[in-house]
Amino acid sequence: MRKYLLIIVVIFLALDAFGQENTDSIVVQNSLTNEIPKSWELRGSLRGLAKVFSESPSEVDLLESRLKLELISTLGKKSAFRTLGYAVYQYPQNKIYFDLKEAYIDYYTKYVDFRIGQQTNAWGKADELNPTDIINPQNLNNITEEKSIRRIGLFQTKADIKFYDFVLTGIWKPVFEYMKIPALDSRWAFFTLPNVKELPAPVYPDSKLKNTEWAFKLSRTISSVDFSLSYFDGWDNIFTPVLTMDTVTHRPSLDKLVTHRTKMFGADFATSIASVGFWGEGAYFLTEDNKGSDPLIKNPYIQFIIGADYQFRNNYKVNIQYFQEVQTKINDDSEETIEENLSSKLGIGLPLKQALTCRFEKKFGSSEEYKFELMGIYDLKYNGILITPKFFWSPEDGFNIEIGYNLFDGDDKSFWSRFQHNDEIYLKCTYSF
Amino acid sequence: MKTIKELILFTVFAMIFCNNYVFGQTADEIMAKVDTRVVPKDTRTFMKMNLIDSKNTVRQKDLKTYKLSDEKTMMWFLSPADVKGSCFFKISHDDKDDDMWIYLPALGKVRRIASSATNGSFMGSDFTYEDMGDRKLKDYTYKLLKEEASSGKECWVIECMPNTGVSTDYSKIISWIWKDDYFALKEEFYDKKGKLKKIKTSELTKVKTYWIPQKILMDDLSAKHKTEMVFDKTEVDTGLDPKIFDQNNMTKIY
Repeated sequence: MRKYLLIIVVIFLALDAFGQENTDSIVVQNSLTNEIPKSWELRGSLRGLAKVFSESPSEVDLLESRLKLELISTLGKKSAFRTLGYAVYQYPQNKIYFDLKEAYIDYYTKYVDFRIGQQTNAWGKADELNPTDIINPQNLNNITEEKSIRRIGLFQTKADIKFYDFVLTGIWKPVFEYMKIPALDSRWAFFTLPNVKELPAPVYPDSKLKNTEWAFKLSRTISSVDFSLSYFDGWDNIFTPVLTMDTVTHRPSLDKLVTHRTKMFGADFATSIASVGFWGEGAYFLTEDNKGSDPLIKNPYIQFIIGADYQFRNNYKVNIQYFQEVQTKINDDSEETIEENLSSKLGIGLPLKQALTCRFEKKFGSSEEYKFELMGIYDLKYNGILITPKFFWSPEDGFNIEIGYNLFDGDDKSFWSRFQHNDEIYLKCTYSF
Repeated sequence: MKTIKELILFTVFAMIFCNNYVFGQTADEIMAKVDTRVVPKDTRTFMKMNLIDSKNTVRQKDLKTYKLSDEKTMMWFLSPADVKGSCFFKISHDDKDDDMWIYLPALGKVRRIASSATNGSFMGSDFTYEDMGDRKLKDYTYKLLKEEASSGKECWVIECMPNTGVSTDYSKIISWIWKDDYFALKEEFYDKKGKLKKIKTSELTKVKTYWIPQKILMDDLSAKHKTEMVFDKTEVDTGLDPKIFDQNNMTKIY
């Protein structure tokens, strides 16, 4: 591993040195930031969110005040600095916490852009469900929250190497974090475990260099097709429960929560054909159980999503996607059930096997100050659905009001059916400054 | 006497020839010159986009625009606060649909925009993405209607009819092309029913040797709504590096 690290550092330094030979374009490029009159800027937003269960209107799901603060600075001609954090108050938990999403420094050279620090990196061309978007885990305590807020910021180093018309992105992730999922006794619990009321703290990999995570992505646009190939070598960010047999009761009991090493080979593309936008994204996840012989570790699996969107006249926009997960090395139905019950899994982050998503948008008003959106995720395999109609209004620039409804329904085995008594209406107001 | 006759004949021929050459251009020739009009190698400008409704309420958006010839355009939104940091990037093609991408900070990644979005409004303004782009010469059939002045400038008035199969919001466009610089000073856009829908007027200013827009007003008659684009601090031929026009840089400029 050290040998590889050394080679990469040498390549970066060599490219950087090569980049110094002709810095004209760098200066021009960074003169963009020089045009901003201030060398630093503070901006952000304040968001108020109220969610109430519709089955029992007196019961509040969440009242939240979320202050977003973003500090941006250009340190010089070749570097920039950015921090983005949230100060959050939540009720009924009655807690205040600070969530640092990003705090990084950028350094630009002609051929390589470096970024070091707390950061989020969003991968994938699909809308909302992204098999290759696995660099940052998500906080799924509020599954209907915006993805940018759900993403958990982590310390990473990133380098974008530009050569010919390609960009090679390399990410080194020394800090591992699990996805955050709702507590087992919560109305939003993803699953239940027999005789377990509270999950123990999961076991983290030792802080050793060999336990760190790596990711690479090669991107290019050829003939109006954007595509990328990606690779990830890291940990499942959803834990696997390890059960042991109680010698007295002869019943299984939860011993600990662990993670397993997984490799991801991904690809995505986006293009426009005959005015219709098309995209696709897929990934093969090579787990530690590559022979499919260990019942406690998930077999290798594939996730893919394809989608299309079209904007009709008068600002109607439709977006449709099909998602599927394919489990490999399955010999019979019982094995498939065992595999499905294993929660450990990278990829889209939600336990969906086959789904159809649809988004319909209509903007109206003289300055498009109103927008209606209807979003649905249909679980094709187990017949369940999440439908969210939303209405947006922007009374003035920088001030937005959103009112919506999250409706969950489905058959018992469907993921969405778990929340069929959690239908809720929400109101969101955002003031940006 | 013979010499005088020859002189008269020569003068008549010369007048006919000159008239054909200078004043007798066909609509196709004029529009070809509009298409190949000399433009700056690159342009940097700040733009205020004022959205004005029927009650004269104004919503203002500020943008920074970089343009590489007529081929590549990048626009960063500077205000209002809820769209600040967003970036629009377009590569124009003569032989196929333009490539367009948008970066929204809330999304955290660059997304390709389908060509069908050209029907849609550009950030809530009266300009569609189609209006923001350059029309492809081969997509239209042209007819010279008349010659008349617009804003005190002598113009050719040319009807542009879209050819069959061309995706456009309009049934026809009438352009007032300034004779001095082959620039469309005024354009009328007619909807699919043939009704006048929008009128675009441009005021020009000279920067170095180029006439470039200082103000563009798009009046949507059907929506009773206007959008005014005012360009400020325009610089041309600054030597912008073409490498700036890259998807990766959409996320960089704050």
